[in-house]
Amino acid sequence: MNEPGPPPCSSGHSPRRGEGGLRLVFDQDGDIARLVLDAPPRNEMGSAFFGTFSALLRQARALTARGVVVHGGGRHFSSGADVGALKAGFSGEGGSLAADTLVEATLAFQSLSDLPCPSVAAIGGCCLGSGLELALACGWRVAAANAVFALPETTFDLMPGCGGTVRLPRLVGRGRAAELVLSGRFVDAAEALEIGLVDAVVDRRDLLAAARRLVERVGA
Amino acid sequence: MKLLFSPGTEGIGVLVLAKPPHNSFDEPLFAARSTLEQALEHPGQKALILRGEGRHFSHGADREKLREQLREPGFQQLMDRGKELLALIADAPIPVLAAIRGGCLGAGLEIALCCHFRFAAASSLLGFPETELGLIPGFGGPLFLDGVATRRAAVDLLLSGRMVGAAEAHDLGIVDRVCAGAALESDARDFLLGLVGRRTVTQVRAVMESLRNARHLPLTAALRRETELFMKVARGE
Repeated sequence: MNEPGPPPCSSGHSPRRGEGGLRLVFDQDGDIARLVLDAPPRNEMGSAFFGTFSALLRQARALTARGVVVHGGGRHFSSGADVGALKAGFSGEGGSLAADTLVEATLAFQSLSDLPCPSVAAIGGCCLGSGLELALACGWRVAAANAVFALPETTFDLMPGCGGTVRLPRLVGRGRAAELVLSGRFVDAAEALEIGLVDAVVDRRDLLAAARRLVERVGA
Repeated sequence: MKLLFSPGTEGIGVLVLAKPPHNSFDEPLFAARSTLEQALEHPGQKALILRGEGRHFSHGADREKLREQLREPGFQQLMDRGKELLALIADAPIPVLAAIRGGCLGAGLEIALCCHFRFAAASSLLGFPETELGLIPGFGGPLFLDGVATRRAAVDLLLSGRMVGAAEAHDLGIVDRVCAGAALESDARDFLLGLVGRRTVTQVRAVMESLRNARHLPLTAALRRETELFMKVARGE
């Protein structure tokens, strides 16, 4: 009981499903914030996701988190946005609303890149579409051996719209980025490591611990 | 050097460096800008294969002819204009694949390196012989190698002047795929069809523009433009 208490906003002791499918957790022993994508099983990003995401990041920042780890609740990181809803949103009346959501999403991911502390995506299972774009906006990416990555937007007659086509080539080079975006093909963890898409691949059980160690190492 | 363009089917065009036998060129402005632009902007075009006529990709600049011109006024400007052709390829609105066979040397290799992809026939030879002649690669080679090969491989190739076979070039990262000689063009075509075959021209050009912006614009400007491009694609414009 003599240990310093968790920061005031902490829901670390009583995790509850957050609004927009997101939760902010400060672990008991630390000042590392965990931003949990928490709409299992696929942690799909709904329309409320991005506003909540920005709000929680502001909170983590205000509480001077030493680092932020973004991960999925359960087996997967995130399958991204609901493509059906997305496409419906861009046709007809809802067009400008959809455009606003896109701008909001881009800003939300940018605020992750702009954090004054390290940000690490801890990626298990599926990391697709805007899920991968979120991971790309983090400073570092650690993947479990079962992780798979793709930007499949072009196969749905779209293209990545939340920074994927801007951040991917900076990491893997323009040729490889063109190949991945235009084909929409899946990349496994081993290939992701080889091409520089992720910084480390670890055992699934060690994923969060590895992400925390990375925050501590780069934030020192 | 002549450039021969044929639009090809299914949106995959072919551009041929044509000055056999070695497809080497006499002046630093190595080809007509208009032909290159025509090939890249051809309506309905979604990807381009760049290859040499005959047995070789290109042996680069003809060293004797080049040496004669070195001291002439205006040489440097001509070189810059030649480099603009390479930038056109690097920033192309559609993916460009270099299909390499035979010799791919000096400025020839620099032309291949500014393409997005490089497939090489197993028997091809690649290298920068410039340092052996007391020069350095001057057509963007050192710049285009960065991000393709490791720093170590780049220094090795640029300074040693040694030639490497397709397999080693693949290990060093400067070749994406080694192909059987007879299958080079069809492999290249199949690969590009896998990328763009089912994509619209708008999609391909929007993606390529955004990837290009990632290199040339500040992050926020590139992101803003990506949103605009996304909307254009989503609305089927």
